[in-house]
Amino acid sequence: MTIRQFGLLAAVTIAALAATPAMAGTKRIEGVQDLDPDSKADNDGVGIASRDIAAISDAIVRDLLNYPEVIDRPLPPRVIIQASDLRNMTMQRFQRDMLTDALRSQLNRSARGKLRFISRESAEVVEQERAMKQDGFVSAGTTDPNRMRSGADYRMVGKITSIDTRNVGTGTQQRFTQIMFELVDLTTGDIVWTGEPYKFKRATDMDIVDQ
Amino acid sequence: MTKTTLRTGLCLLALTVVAPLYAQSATTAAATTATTTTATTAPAAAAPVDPVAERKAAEKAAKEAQRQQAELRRKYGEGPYPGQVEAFLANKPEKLRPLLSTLYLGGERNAVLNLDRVGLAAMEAGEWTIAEHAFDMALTRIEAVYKKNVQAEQAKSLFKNEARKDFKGEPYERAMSYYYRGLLYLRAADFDNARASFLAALFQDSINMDGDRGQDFASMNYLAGWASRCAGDAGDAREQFDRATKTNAALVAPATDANALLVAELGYGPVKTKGGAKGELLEFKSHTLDVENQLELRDASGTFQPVLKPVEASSLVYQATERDGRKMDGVLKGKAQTKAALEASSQAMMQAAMMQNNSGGMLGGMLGGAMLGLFAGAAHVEADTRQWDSLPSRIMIQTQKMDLAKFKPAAQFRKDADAVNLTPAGYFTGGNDRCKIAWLRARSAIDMPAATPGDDAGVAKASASRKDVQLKDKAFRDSLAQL
Repeated sequence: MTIRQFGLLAAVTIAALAATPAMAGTKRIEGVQDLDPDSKADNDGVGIASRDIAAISDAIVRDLLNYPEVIDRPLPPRVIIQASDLRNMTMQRFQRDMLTDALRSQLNRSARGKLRFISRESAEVVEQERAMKQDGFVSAGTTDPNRMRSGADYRMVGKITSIDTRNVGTGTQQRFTQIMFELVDLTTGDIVWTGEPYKFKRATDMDIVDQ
Repeated sequence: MTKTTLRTGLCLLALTVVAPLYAQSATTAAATTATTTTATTAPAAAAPVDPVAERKAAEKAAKEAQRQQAELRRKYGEGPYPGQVEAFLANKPEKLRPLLSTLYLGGERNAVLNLDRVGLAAMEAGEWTIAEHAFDMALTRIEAVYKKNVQAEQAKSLFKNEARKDFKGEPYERAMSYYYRGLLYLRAADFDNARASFLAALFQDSINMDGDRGQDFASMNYLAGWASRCAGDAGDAREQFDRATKTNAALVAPATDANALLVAELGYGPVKTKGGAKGELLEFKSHTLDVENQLELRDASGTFQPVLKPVEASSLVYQATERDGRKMDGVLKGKAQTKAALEASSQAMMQAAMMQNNSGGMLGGMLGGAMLGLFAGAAHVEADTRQWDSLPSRIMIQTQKMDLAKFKPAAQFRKDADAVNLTPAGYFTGGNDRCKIAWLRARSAIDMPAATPGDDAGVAKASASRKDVQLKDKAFRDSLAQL
C-alpha cells in the first residue's frame, strides 16, 4: 500500500466510523431575563404551563359573567373559590393556588360588585379579630363589629384530569389534560353552572439518553 | 468528512501548542494629587471633599476589582472562586455540609444525583425545607426535555463517554426521586400532590416497557392508593390498592379504620457495574452490605401493644433489573462494535504491512494500522455507573389504626430469623388526624462518602474544562440559593 492509499483508507475509515454530531447549542440567557408569563416558553413540558393559568381564568370569567342566573341576581351572590376545592387527579405536581388565586382575582375585578367572594381560608384570623373586638382588647374598627360572618351561596369546585401515553419505540410522551370548573349551590347542592372544559394535548420526545 | 472529524485528526498530529495569552490591564493608576485644605480654626473640623480625588479613587478601586476578577477567571474559569463554597455552606446544617459541598462543586452534570442525595439526607436530619427544595430541583431536571443539549449528544458520540451527559438516573432512581417527594407531601398532608408524585414514580419506572408490564412498582401503587384514600377519592384508592395487590399479594388494602401508614426502608440499594467485553453494558447487583430484610416495631412507651411487622412492598434490586434494558445500551453496543472493528482493522492492517515486500507499502500499512489503533483507543464505550448510593434495597409498608403521636418506636431488624444489630438512622411522623404517616430508615443517608458515587474523574475534568459547561455550572450554583 502506498502512503497515498493509506491516507485515503484512514480518512474514509475514520469519517465513516467517527460519528461526531454537530455541537449545536441553545442560546444562553445572560443574567435574568423577563419573560411573558402568558406566552409559550422553551422550558414548558407536557403539563400545565403558566400560559394556561391566564387562558383558563379568561375563559371562565367570560363564560360566568354572561350567565344571568348567577350574575343578574338582585343581591350579589357570595362565592367561595379556594385551592382545596380544586382537585388534581393527574401525575403533575401542581400548586392549585396559582389557578384559584388568578381566577378569584380576575372574577372579582371583572364582576364589578356583581359577585362577592368569601375567604374561608382566613376564617381563623377573622375569628381572632372578632374575639379581640368583642373582648374590648381592640377598638371596634370602622364597621359594625356585631355583623355576622357571611354565609356562602356558591362554591367553585374543579378538577384537573389527564391521560398519559408513551410510545416505547420512539420515546414520544403525550399528555391530554382537562380542567373543569363548576359552581355548586351550597343550599341545595345543585350545579348551577358548568364551565366549558379547558383541554390541551401536548407531546414531547425523550432523548435516548433518558430512556 | 465532517469538520469536527477533520479537526480531531489534525489535533492528533498537532505538534505545536498555542499557549493562551492574557493581557493584564494596567494596574498602575495615574498618581493622584489630592489637595487638602487645612482648617485654620478648630483642628477637629473635617477636610472638604475633593470630588476629583474621590472619582479617581473610585476608578482605581474599580480597575483593581477588574484586575482581580480577571485573575480569578484566569485561574478558576467561571468558578467557583475561593470563599464561595464556604459562603454557600455558612448557614447550612453541619450534618449536610459534606453532601452540599459536593452538590455545589458537582455542577449541572451531577445535579440530579447530588440533589437526590442531599434531599434524602435532609429528610433524615429533619431539614424539611432543604429536603423539599432539593427534590423539587431534582424533579424539574428529570422532567426537563433535552433540546439541543450538547452533553446529551456527546454521550452518544463514539469519542465521548456516556458519563458526559447530565445525570437523570435510571428509571428506578427517577421513580425514587418522586417517591421521596411524595412522602414529604404526605407529611405535609398535601394528598393530591402526594398522589401525583407516586403516579409519576410509576410512570418513570415503566419507561421502555409496554403497557401493564411496566406497572410493577407495587409500593408506588399502594402509596398512591393511600394518598387517594386520604384525599377522599375512594374509587381511585380502591383501584390503586387492587393494582398493588395484583403485583404483590402481600399488600392488602388498609382496614376501614386504619389512620396511620408506616413506611420503612431497609438495606442498601442495587449497585451499578460495567459489563460486556468493553464495559458497555450497565449491570446491577445486590450490595454486599445489604443484610436486613425484616423489621419489627414495638412501642417503647408500652401504650400500643401489637408488634408492627411491615411487609416487603418493593425490592429496588428487582426494579433495577426487571426491565427491557436501556435504549442507551443499544447505542453503547454499537459503539463497542465499532471500537472492536477499529481494533481488528488496525491489527489486520499492521499484519498485512509486515507481509509487504516494498518499504513504501510496509510504511503505509503500518501508519494506517497505527492511525486506526489510535482512533480505537480514543473511542469511549463504557456505560455510565454514576448511582444513587443512599437508596434502600427494600420498601416495607403497613397500615394500622393507632395514635402515632404517642408511639415511641423500638425497632428490631432481622435477616430472616436472625437479629441484626442496628439503630434506625431516621424517623419522622406527619400528616393530619385522619391520615398520619411514619417513615423509618435503617441505614443512614448522611453518613455516606461525600464524593459523587460512580463518577469518572477524567470525564468530570474534561467536561468542566468546556466554557459552555462552566457557564451552566455557574448558573446552577446561583440557583442553589433557594436551598
